Amino acid sequence: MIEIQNVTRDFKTDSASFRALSSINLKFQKGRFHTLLGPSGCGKTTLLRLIAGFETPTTGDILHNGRSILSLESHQRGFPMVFQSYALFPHMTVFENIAYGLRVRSTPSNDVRRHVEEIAEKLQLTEHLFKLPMQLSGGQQQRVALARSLILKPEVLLFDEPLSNLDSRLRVLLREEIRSLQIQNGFTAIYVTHDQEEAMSMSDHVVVMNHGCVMQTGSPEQIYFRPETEFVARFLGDVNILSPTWLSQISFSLKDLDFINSDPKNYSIAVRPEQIYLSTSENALKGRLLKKMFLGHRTRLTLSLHQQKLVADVPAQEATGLQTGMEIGFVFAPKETALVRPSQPDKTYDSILEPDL
Amino acid sequence: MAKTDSQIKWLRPSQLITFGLLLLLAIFVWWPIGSILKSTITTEAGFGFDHYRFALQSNSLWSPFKNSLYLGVTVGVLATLVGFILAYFTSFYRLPGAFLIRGLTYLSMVSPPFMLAIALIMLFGKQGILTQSFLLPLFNWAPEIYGFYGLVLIETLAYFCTSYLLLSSTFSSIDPILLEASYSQGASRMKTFWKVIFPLSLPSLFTSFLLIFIESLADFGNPLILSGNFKVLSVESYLKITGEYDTAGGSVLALALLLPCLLAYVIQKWVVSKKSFVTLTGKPSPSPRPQLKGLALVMASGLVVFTCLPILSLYSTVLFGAFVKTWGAGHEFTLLHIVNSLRETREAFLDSFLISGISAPISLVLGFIAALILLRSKASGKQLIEASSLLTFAVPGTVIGIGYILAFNDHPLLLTGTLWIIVALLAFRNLPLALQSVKNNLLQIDPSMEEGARSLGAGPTRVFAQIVTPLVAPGLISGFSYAFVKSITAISAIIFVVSGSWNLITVNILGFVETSHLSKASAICVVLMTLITVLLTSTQIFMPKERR
Repeated sequence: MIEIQNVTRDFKTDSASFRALSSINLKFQKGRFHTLLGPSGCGKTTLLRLIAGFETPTTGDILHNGRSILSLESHQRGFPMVFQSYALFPHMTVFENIAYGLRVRSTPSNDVRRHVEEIAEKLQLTEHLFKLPMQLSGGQQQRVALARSLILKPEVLLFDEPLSNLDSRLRVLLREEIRSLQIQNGFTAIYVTHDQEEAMSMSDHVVVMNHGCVMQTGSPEQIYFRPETEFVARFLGDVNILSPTWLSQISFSLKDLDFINSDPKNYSIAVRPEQIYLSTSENALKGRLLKKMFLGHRTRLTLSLHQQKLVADVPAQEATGLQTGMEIGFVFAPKETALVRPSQPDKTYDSILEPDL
Repeated sequence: MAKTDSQIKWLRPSQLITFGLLLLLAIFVWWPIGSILKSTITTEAGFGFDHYRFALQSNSLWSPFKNSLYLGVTVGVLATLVGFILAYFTSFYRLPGAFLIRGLTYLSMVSPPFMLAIALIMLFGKQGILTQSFLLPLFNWAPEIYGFYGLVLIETLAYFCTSYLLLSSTFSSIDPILLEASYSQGASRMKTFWKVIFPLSLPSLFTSFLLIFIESLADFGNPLILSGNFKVLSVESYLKITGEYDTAGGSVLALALLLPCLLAYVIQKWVVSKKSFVTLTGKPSPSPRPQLKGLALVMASGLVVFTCLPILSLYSTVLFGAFVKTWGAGHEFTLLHIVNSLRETREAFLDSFLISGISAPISLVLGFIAALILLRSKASGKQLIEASSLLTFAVPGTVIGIGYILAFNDHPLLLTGTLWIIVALLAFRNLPLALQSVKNNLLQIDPSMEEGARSLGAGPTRVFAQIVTPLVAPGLISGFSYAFVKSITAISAIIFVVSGSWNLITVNILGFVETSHLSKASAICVVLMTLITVLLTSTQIFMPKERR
């Protein structure tokens, strides 16, 4: 298990000081897949590099199995890292790249060959072993980088946005591969990404970060369906944020939410587009249809009610007869919504759901 | 709450090395310059400004100072202009003869810096072949090559390469998509030139002007041969010291030479380069360069040929001069000059190669260490190393040479007359070249390569030996070649520190020129350039192939 205790990291330039991480406390359980998720500049990469030993915390401690590892240099920690740029050694063959860690550990060359061939087989690299990295495609290069780390049978493996340079098809393919390798080998993965889909599909445990702070941690389901802040709700996907004022106009009381006890002030409600359903019932809310967009498996409707725009994703066949300008009945279930604290407005991640009227 | 033990451990060796390097730079770069200053304010009474007062009164300072600046500005403007025009046409258009310019830049790198002046004398001097057989008989006119105009001509031809290389790299880093964007907005080629290309290249134009200005001021070999009655600082300070034994007077002139150079360099480094728009990140998208047609093609190629041909003919003059029996009279082929001059200068040849062979590796090793400290360590004082090494670019060789004879003339570092004063001078003079070469290479290496190796368990020594060194090998090789060639062809600084027992080949060439043995001078130039070319070609064999 890796523990981050009260870690702060300041970067000083000539004129200014910048706090990349402030008082981080985290636990990464052994053998699980952890993701650090957040927009660029949120501190996720800095945190990963602190664990790897490429940076040192300004204050705080990092423990591995209960012992501080701050006094160990990166090469003494035994946490191989997979990089966005692959970082393969261009002057060595694929074989020598994969064998590098074993050579460092003075493994007898017979064993080196056996282990390299074994892992190359597993990652479909056998036919490329004697090529130079530049002769491989991006996907193959990242497989070599994976093999190079996996061959050491590490307890902890670090990933710094390893799939960002690949095209989307390969990305999906490789993330499944990484996840199944992690399950087979049982290493602890700490994986940095800004892609929420990647985070949700791979992880056991997601850490959402922003502005150098941890915003929320939990399973992918928890952070998707029960975001605690507007920021997390928006970062994990499209969402309707409904203010208390608007909710009172439709006579929706926060007390209706069964998962809270008191009536917190100023809290909003987050409802995902797929959690809004069309309804013909008398009690349904009535909104005007502003826009209709066919997405294939779903149809996206933009509705307006009491000056609030709402986006709903409904099954395509339900939306066939609908025309813009129509009054449409819809509902959402209180128990499916989440109660969110407003967070600082963050221009970059304002979702598409708040276009200019 | 461990305050990062690891960082301190990492720091310790690099901090120590940084101090060591700074100490060396202080002794071999700054102390000599300080010694010049000291000698100008030391009088018989102890301390005073008598030397300055005397220099100003006797007019021995003011007139060469004005001449040097006048020459520097003129050559700076002309050479920049020539380089700009050539770079523009070869960068943006497909032009026959572009290879000529590349050939010239190569020749100017491997030839002794005053070789064109020799050729000029052989062609247009009083006994020159063109003067005697063409100008005098037909026009009854002998051109006056000794003085301002001859110097302007030769320095412009010698230094336009600086401007050409600088502007070519600026032009090639301008993404052609910018030009296409401009055309698509309806701007003509002319308009695009004035509104897009010219403004983007303005900082490089200034840089080029300032660097050539420094080169011209620092030039020693050409003025020594050609200046005649047009006195310039570098030559005057040399004559003061070696001719009149007036060390303090020479030092005053050397300082007067140093100041404008430093000023120009500081302006270039900290003002002009900050204004540069052109970023060198990313490769510009390749776009086919248009072929000029009709009159434009004729004019552009004419321009290239018109510039290149005279220079090429100057180089060929030296080549012919080396192999014909009597220049201007009997033009039958002979190897006599080669054989004779080699016999006379055998010692100097061996000394030159020996000394460069010792000094270039020192430059390389120190440059490599300095580059690693600059880019990969957190040691304090590294900015000082960078500033020191950059500023030495701006210090004219004459100044360094005078500094060395003043600084190492006495205990505890009595080096005068030994091999080591020449070695130290060349090693530290060329250190910045090696440093830049390694640094540029190191900048291109993704730091995650080293981090990757460390995360796989490799310690600092192993990372250095197995990852960094092989990856910067091209930079090491080119840094070494550059330092070596510069050592072999150096003249301005080392002319002060050579001695009876240790002489260098470039000094011998100058000696032949002064005694009007131009055929012998040409012969050595040709042999020297051939040897350097063989050497550079053979280092290319060690150059690893492109891996990215």
